[in-house]
Amino acid sequence: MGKGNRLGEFEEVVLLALASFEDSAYGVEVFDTLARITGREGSITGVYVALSRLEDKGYVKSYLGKATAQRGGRAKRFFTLQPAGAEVLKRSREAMNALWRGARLHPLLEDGS
Amino acid sequence: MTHPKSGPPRVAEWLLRRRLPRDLSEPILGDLAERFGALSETDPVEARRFYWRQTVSAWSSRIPAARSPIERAGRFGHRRTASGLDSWGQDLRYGARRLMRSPGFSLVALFTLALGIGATTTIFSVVQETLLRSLPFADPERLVMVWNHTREEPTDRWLLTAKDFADMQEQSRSLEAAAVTETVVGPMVGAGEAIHVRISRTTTNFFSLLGVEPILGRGFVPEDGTPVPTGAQGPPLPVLLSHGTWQAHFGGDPGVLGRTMTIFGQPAEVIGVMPVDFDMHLPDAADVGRDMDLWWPIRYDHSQGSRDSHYLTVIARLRDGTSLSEARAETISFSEGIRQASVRHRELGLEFELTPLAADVVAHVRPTLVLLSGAVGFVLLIACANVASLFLVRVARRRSELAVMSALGAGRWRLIRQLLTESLLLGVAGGTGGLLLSVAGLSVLKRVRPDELPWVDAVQLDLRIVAFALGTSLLAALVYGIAPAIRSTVAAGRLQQRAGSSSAGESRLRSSMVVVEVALSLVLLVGAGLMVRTIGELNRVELGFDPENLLVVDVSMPGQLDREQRLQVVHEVERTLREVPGVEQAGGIFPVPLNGVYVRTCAYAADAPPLESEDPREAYFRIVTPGYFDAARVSLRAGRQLEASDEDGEPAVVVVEQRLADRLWPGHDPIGQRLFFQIFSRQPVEVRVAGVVDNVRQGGLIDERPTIYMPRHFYAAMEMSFVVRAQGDPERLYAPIRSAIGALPTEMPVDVRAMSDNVVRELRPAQFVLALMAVFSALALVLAAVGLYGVLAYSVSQRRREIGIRLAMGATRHDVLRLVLGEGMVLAALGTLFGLGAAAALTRFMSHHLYGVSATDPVAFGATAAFLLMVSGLATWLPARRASGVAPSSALRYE
Repeated sequence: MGKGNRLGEFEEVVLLALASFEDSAYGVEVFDTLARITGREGSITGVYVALSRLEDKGYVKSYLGKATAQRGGRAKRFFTLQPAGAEVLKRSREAMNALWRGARLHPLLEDGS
Repeated sequence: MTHPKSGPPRVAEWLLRRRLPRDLSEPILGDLAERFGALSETDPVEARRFYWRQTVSAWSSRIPAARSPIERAGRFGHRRTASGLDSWGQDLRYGARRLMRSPGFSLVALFTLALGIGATTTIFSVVQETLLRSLPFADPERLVMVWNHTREEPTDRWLLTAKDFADMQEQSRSLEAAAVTETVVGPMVGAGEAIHVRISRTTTNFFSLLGVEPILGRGFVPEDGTPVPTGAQGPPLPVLLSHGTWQAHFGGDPGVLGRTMTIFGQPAEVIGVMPVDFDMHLPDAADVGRDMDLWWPIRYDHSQGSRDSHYLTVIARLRDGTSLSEARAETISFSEGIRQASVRHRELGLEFELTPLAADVVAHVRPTLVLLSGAVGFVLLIACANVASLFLVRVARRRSELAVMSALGAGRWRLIRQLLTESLLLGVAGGTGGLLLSVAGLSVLKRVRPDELPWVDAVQLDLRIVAFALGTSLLAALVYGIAPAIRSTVAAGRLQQRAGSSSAGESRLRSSMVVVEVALSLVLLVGAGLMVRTIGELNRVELGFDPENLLVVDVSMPGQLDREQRLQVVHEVERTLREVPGVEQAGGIFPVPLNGVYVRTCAYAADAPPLESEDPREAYFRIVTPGYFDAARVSLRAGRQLEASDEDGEPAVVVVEQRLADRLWPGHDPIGQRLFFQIFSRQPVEVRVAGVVDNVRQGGLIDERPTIYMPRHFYAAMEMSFVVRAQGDPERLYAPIRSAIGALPTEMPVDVRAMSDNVVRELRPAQFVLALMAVFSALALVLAAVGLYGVLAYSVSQRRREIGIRLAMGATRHDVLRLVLGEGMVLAALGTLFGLGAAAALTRFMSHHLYGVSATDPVAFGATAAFLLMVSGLATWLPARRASGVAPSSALRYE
C-alpha cells in the first residue's frame, strides 16, 4: 500500500477511542466516545470508514453481532483492538512524548500543561 | 426499550443506502436506527435532525470504493444495482462527466447535431403547418372544389359555366351547398384617396358554406344577391371588409358599419368586417389568389347564364354523412345529363370532378416541401454520420477504460448502455440547440415570407415541434450511437491493445461513413447546381420585349363611363404619358405581360369559329394601342403594326405572334389570312392578320401560349395599363406620371411600378428553392469536409510511427504527402461516385422545379462533383501536410 501503515490523524483518534473500551465496541459507542472527548458530533460514516481502514492495516478486527429489533433487524459490527494497533498507538505516544520534552523550552508553551 | 413510534426518515435511509458500500451500510444503518430510536423517545424532532445530519455527512465524506477488486467490479456489473433506474442515474452522471471532460469533442458533436436538428425542425414546423393542419373552416373535410375537364385532357382543370353551376346546385343531392367566388381588382373611392382593391365577388352563401362569420356586423343574406336589372339602380352593394383593410383604411373604427363608398363606380355600403386570420385558402387553379381587401355579393342569377364560358370558381360542401366517392358517383351521372343537354359538352366530353379542398390547397406547395424535407433529412444523416465518426474515435481513445470495465465484470450490454447513454445525453443537448436554431430559422423564413410557403406566418413553436425536435434527436442519438457502442464491446475484449489505437474494423467503419457523407452532400450539391442552371436558363429566356427602363402604369376607370368615354380616356392617358418629360415612348396594353393576376384567353381557329372548328386552340388576347409595340420594343416580323385607323374596326384586323402564325399557316404568308376568335361567351369574330410580331412570354417565363393583339374596339375594359419607356432612370418618373394623370378631369387610381419587378417576381419561386438548397448543401458540404478531415487527421496521428519509419527509410516528404492525399482522395472519389449515382436516381423528384435543364444535366453533375472533389482535396491536404512534417526521430519515439 502506497501510504504504508502510517496512521492518519483521524485514524489515530478513532483508534484511541476504541482503545478506551476494555473488550470491543461497535460504531455508536466509538462515535459517542469521540463526541464526548472532542465536544463535537462527528459522522458515524466517518468513524466506520476510519475503522475499516484500520482493519485493512491490521490494527483492529471486526466481527458481526446479532441483529436486534431496535436496529431495524440489522447486525452490529464490533471492533476489537489488535496487538499491532496497541503497538502503533504506543509508538505514537512515545514519539509525541519525546517531542513534547523538547518543546517545553519554548516561551509560548510555558503555561502549558 | 420500547419500540419507536416511527422509523427513521425513509428518504434519508434510502439516500444512505445509495451512498454506502455494502459492507458498511448494514452496521451504519443499524447504528443510526438504534440511535434514532433512543433519541426519538425524548425528542422526535431532534432525532430526525440527527438522522439527516448523519445522512448529509455520509454523502460529504470520502468513502473509498469497496475494498476488494471483486467488489469494485460490482459497481459496474449488475450485482450491486438494486434497481435499473438507479444504475441509469449512475450512467447519466458518469456520461455527463465523460462529456465534460472532453469539451472539444462535445462541442463539435453538439454543434453538428444542433445544425442538423435545427434545419430538420425548421422544415418540419413548416410542413406540419402546411400539409398536416386542417383548414380554418367548419368541418373542412366536407369541403370540395368542383371542376370541369375534357375526356382528352383529364388532368386539366376548367372552371364551371354559369348554367352548369345553377343546374348542379339545383339537382345535386350529395352537395349541401355550392358557392362561387371570383377575384377582380378595381378602384375604391371614399376611404381617403382612391385606391386599388382586391375584391372577391361571391355568392351570398359563400361564408355560411365555409362556416366563417364576420367579427363585426353581419354576413351576406340571400337578399343581398337579388339580381339587379341592367340599367336599374339597385340598393348599395353590401361590402364585407377584410381585417387588414378595416385597419389600414378605416382606422379599425367599430363605427365603420354603414359607411358608404364607391367601388367600380357603384355605391357600396360596409356591412361587416371579417376575422383577422380569414384568408381564401383555395387552390391555385381556382385563380382567386389570396389577401383580399373586400368581398361583395354576386347579384346575378346563374341559371340565366350560358353553358359556354368557363369562368366560375365553385366550392361546395358535402352533405353530412355523404362520402366523397358517393358524391363523385352522383357527379358522373350529372355529367351525363348535362352532355345530353349540350352539344358542346358532348363534343368536348366535358366531365365534372370533385376534389377535396384540403389536399387541393396545398397541392402546389407539396413538391417544394417534399424536396426540402428530403434535403434536410440528408443534412441530418450527414450530421449523424459525423457524430458517429467522432464517437468511434472516442471509443478507440477509451479502449483501456472500457477494457478495465469489462475485466471487472461489466457485461456487453452494460458497456453498450454506458456509451448509448452518452449518445443520448449529447442528443438531448443537440436537440435543445437545434430547437434554438430553428427558432432563428423560422424568424428568417417569416421575414422572407415566400409564396411557396403560404402559411409560414402561422407557424408557432408549440409542443408538437418541441416533441419533434426531441424525438429526432433521440432517434439521431440511436443512429450515431449504436455502431460505436457495439464496436466498443469488441474493443473492450482486447485488453492488451494500446489505448487510442484503432482497429481495422473501426477505421473501415469511419471511412465508410465519410464516403456516405460525401455521397449525400453531393446529392444536395447537385440539387443546388440544377437550380442554378434553372435560374440561368430562366434569365436567358427571350421575353420578346425589353423590361429595362420600362414602367407599368395601371389605371382603373370609373364605372359610370360608357364604352366611348372609356376609349376616350385611354387615348387621353396615353397622350398625357407621352408628354411627361423623360418619357421616350408610351403605349397601352391590357393586361400587361407577366402581370401575375390576369390570364385573359380566347379560343381561336383558322378555318371556322372556334366552336365549330376542327382544331380550336387557346391564345392570350391583349388589347393594345398603336404605340405599344414600339414602347415595349416588341419587334415586327412581317406586315405592319396596328394603327389608329384600325380602332374603328373596319376592316377588323389583329396582330399575331410568330408562333401562332407558324402553327396555323406554316410555309405560307400569314399577312391577310383569315382568323376566328371568341372572347368569353361573346359572339365569335372573324378578322384578318395585319402583322406578325416576335414571341412574347405573356403569362410567365416558361409560358409559350401565343398572343393575339387586337385594337381596343374589341374589348373596352374598365381597366387599362400602359408601358412607359423611360430615358434614363425610370424611378424619377413615378411622381411626374402620378401628378400628370391626377390632373386629368377623370378621377382614377394610378399605380406605377417597374416592369422589371414583374420579371423578378417570376424568378422568385426558383430562387427560393435555390436559396434553401444552397443553404442545405453548404451545410452538408461543410459537415462532410469536417468528417473527411477528421478521419484523415486521426489516421495520420495513428500512423505517425509508420510515417516516421517510412521517412527514416528514405521516403521523401512528397511521398508522404501523396500517401495521405491518396487515402483521402480515394474516399472522396468513392463518395463522389456513389453520390453521382444517388443523385441520378433522386433528382427526378425535383423536376417540378427545373426549367431548361434535364434532371440529369451533365453540367450540373460534373461541376458539382468537381467542386466537391476540390473541397475534399482541401480537407485532405491539411492532415497530409501535417503528416509530411513528421520528424523521423520523434515519430520513432512516439508511443
